[in-house]
Parts: sequence; structure tokens; C-alpha cells
Amino acid sequence: MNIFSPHIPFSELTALAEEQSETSPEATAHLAACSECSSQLQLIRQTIGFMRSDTAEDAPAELIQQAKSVFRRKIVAHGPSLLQVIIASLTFDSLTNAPAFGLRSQTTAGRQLIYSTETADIDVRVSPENDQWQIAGQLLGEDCPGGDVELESDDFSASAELNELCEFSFGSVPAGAYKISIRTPDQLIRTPRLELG
Amino acid sequence: MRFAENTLKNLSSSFTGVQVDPINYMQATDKELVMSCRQGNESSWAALVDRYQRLVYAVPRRAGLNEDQAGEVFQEVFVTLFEKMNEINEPDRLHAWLVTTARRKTWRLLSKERSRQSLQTGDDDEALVVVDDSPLPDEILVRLEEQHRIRTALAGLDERCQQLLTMLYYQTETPPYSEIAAILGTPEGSIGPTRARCFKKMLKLLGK
Repeated sequence: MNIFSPHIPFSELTALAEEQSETSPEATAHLAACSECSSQLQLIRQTIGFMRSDTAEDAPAELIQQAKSVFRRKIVAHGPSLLQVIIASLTFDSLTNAPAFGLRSQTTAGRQLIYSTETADIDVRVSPENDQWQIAGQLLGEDCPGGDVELESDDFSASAELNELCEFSFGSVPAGAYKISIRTPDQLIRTPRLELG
Repeated sequence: MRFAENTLKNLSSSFTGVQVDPINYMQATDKELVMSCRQGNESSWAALVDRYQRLVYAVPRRAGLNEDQAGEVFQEVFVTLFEKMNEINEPDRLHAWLVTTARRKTWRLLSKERSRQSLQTGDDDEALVVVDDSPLPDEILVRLEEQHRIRTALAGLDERCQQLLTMLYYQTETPPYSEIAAILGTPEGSIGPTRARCFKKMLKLLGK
């Protein structure tokens, strides 16, 4: 405190926060009465506490380098301007579609869905697996150029590669609303959300 | 693996000569860096990686993952960040997004690892017993985020302040003032006032 301000100077607060100086009776009385100074002292102490307890280590240099190279690698590996994004639409769902020609209707054994685009269909089969789900599927088209698949909800995501038959599968999938994205060299096909559970 | 096609389209512009506004990477906000990345600025991407590498690496390490596993989570988080660059709605809350993503990927890896171990031992019950979904309580993550914010603010200070506050608060044992004064080439008596000035600047950068 001084003649210009009724408050404890910041430099004194930092010294008090470090417990380098003893709190004078005058300062103690002021801190008890002044919420501005006491909350500032608390803030300084808290910040110093965060700094002193910060033992986080740097990531290894090669990891940092790899992460930086993601930028260039992705662009070089995939011609972005050639990428075509297609939203597939649901054209069949065994859960809601009427069974045809005496076939048994939906059972607990599984559910089949077909998503379609102009050039390809995606056959998706969902089956229960303990308390979770298994999702298997196949990209149906004239050829199978390879690619990868990502399954994603708000809380879960997983990726898989298409095999030579353009099939993919995911196990132990928790309940949720999932989008499936299939990326081939020249297309990114996305499905609407699929509710599981 | 899925790619944020728009990001790629935009990012490709950096290779076709599109000019990006000059940016001070050290002092740029997360939002500025994200926007700059979206425009195809590779240096902004590098600045984001530099800024967040410690925080992202700390999450799996705090959960008890070893260096290799933490490295796996680290890479996945940055690949995901790249792919979702255009989908991040609140770039100024990037730290929270990264911590959440790192936590999810850490859980997933822990869960996978435990399933693998239970398969190896053939003991199904073990998997049920050992699965612990909370190796990273919220208070640890909040602390990590706060420590990250403080480090970022510190990095925005002038070199002299950075040096002083680092010596005072980031070393296992704070050096004697005489040593700090010698390193800074300043009288010992000015350490206290300088510390207060630097601290005040840092709190200002923290918005406090």
C-alpha cells in the first residue's frame, strides 16, 4: 500500500505468493478486508503452483517431425483436386423393409443395409456381439481399387482397410450413431448416420 | 483413413502459389493458426504442432502409456487434427479439442491392449476386471490444459521474462538470486521488480 493506491503493490503480492517475505500485520489486515488483493494473491499462487507442478515432457523430436510432415505427406500422397465426395443414400434396410417372398423378417441375428451412389453400392451388415456390435461390409462396384474405411460416431472412431474383395469389418463397436466413410483413390463416399443400440 | 477433402483442396493451394498473410507464429492465436492452415500454410501447421506437442504427448503419458504407445496416440491425434481441420467449429478452443481427442485415443488403445492381454491369457473375466475407463480424471486434464495455457503465455513474453520465469518456476530447484542475476546480467535487487513485471504481463496474456 502506498500513498497512490490503497492496494498492496503487485510486486509485494508476488513476493508474498512465493512466501519470500513475511506478511506484515498491516498487509494481513488489508488482505482480510480487500477481496481484490486477496483474489489476486490467490491467482498468483495458483499460477505459480501450476508452473511448479508442470512436469510434462516434450514429445520426442522424431515424433514432432513426423507430425509436421503429415501436412505435406497427405497432399503429395493424395491429389486433392481429384477427390470426389459422394453422399450415399440408404436404399435398403432389413429392419424397416418388408420381407420379400416369404423370407423371414428381421431377427436378432443381424441387419442388412444397402447404401447406393450412382456408381457403387455399399452392403453393410450389422450383428450383435455381446453388448456391442459387429459391422461388416463390402463396396460393390465394377472393380476394387482399394482404399480405407472410417467408422465414426461422436464418441468412437475406427478405421480399416478394404481387402482385395473390397470388404471391411469392425468389431466391438459400442452403441451410437455412426457415419461410414469409404475413401478410394478418387472418391470419398459417406453414408448417413446409422443408429446402433 | 478419411481425409477432410475441403482441407486438402484448400491446403493444395500452398503448392500453387497462393499467398497467405504473414503471421507471427509465436504470438498467433489458435484461431489464426487454424485459419491459416485452412488456407494452406504449412508453417502454421508446424507452429500448431510445436505449440501442442507437449500437451498431446502428456495425455497418454499421464494415463500410464509407455513411450511407444504414447507416440502412437500422438501421431493419431495430429493426423485426426489435420483431417478435421475444416470441421473444428471453435478453433479458439483447440486445446480442449486436442485433449478430448487424445483422451479418446488413449482409452481406445488401453482398451485394445487389455483385450489383447485377456485373449493371450484366455481369461475373459480379467478383461472385465481390469478395464478402467477413467485413467485420466477430468482434474488432471484441466490441470494439463491450464499448464499448457501458461506455457503458451510464457512463450509470448520477451526473452528476458521467459528466462527469468523459467528459472524461477520451472526448474526443480530454483537457483539462488545471485545466480539468476549473473545469468541475466542484472543487479540482484532488480529480480523482484522484474519478476513482478513479467508475471503481470503473463497474466495479461492469460486474460486474467
